[in-house]
Amino acid sequence: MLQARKAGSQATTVSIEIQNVEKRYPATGNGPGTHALRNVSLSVSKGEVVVIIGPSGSGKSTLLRTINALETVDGGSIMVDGVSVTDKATNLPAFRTRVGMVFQHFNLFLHMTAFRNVVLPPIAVKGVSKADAEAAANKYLARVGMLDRAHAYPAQLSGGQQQRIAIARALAMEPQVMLFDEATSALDPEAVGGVLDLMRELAGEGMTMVVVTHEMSFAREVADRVVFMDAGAIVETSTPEEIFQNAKSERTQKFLSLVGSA
Amino acid sequence: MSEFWSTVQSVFNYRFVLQYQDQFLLGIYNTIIAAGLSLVLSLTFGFVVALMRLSGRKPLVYAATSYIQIIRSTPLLLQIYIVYFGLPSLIPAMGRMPEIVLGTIALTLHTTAYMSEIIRSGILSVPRGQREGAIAVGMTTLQQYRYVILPQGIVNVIPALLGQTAILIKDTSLLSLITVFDIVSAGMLLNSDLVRPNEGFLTVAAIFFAFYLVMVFVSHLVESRLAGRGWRSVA
Repeated sequence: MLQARKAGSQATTVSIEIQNVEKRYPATGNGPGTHALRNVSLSVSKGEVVVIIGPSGSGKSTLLRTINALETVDGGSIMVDGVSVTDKATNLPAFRTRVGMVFQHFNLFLHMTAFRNVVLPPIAVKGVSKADAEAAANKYLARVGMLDRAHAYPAQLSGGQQQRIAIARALAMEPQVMLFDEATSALDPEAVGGVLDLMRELAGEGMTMVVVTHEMSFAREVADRVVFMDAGAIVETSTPEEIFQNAKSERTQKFLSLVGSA
Repeated sequence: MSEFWSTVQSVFNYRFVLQYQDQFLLGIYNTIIAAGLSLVLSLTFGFVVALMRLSGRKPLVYAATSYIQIIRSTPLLLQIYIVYFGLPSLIPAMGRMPEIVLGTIALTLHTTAYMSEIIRSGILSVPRGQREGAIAVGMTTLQQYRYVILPQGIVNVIPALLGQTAILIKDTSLLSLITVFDIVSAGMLLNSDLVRPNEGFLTVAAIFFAFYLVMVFVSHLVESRLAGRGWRSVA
């Protein structure tokens, strides 16, 4: 599966088109407002794996969350597979069924078993029949290696197991795009590798992916392009080789030397 | 043995209770009607008031908040009197309604305020990530509430809902003051006819206790229906 990847990423059609996006958080009683995204533009082709790196508070998660409109934007436009996310008239719930999202803290439904977590969304949201949804759930739970724990509740599972189920839940919706928001940041070191392997496999199968991560080795190996963000803006975008070996911007070089794995 | 038995009977003679069983049954029936209807209605309206308070729209928030504060700051008995005497003067048709209807309206108005606060805290108890997980798989707001927020939120506040329901059942006794024949009225009647306070009032206490046991049982059913066992257990 790993070998199939480069062929999949040859596709040239645009999947995600982010143009001049602006986002500000207003000042609150607790502190001043922030300019979270400054004139950010990024386009992702079908089958491409884009990894966003950068220091904390640089806006990478915010950018990722604007792609499925978990965050609204104050300016600019975002198109995903021809649907305008930033257009007020867009039916966002229907649109989101095409974009899978994996969170840092999994966000599995705590009152449901792993199996029910994967079965419910297609039934409730897409109107898939119970039998089809259950077949799909079995398939994707087997895929992430969690079939034997299908009837456990999230609280009975380790972080790594929960994250695998969260990935199965997202895949069961058969999305066109997968977004990963620091999917391994809350896992113990042992579990990180397994989840990264799963993400690597997905990339190898040609899934369009936008990944926010602090795992530099993953960015190096799996990314088609790496985006470095700082202070709400994209500092530079390049191939992993370019970024990690001769980054143009001093800010990028400094960040990479600090995180060590460059 | 027979001496012991006659001592017991001198303190509590169940035959007097049986003699008044029709009155007790009528009291139980009226209490179930008033409390049952008020429970269903106050949960429904309580949910609406809770959503109004959470809506963030000022007119709705103010309306809901003032309603809750007015109800909480005045005695239930006063609210019952206002509904009983005031509503018919406002809407003459209400004057032809049986007392229990007016009593049920008053209990509902009262209990809704408390239920809405419990439901609101239940909704707020659901972690933000749960809602985001539901949004991300494409659920509409209605679906988020139906599948994720309400089941978890309600389970989190079941002890409080149970407590408020127990209060509601006990509060039906105040309806005897607007001539609704409730369980306490039946005990009162027995005592004033026969001057047997134990048979009169201990029976009433036992009936209220039985109601409470049923409520505890029902709340366990609701809990396991909404969220399977073990969802809070630790790996």
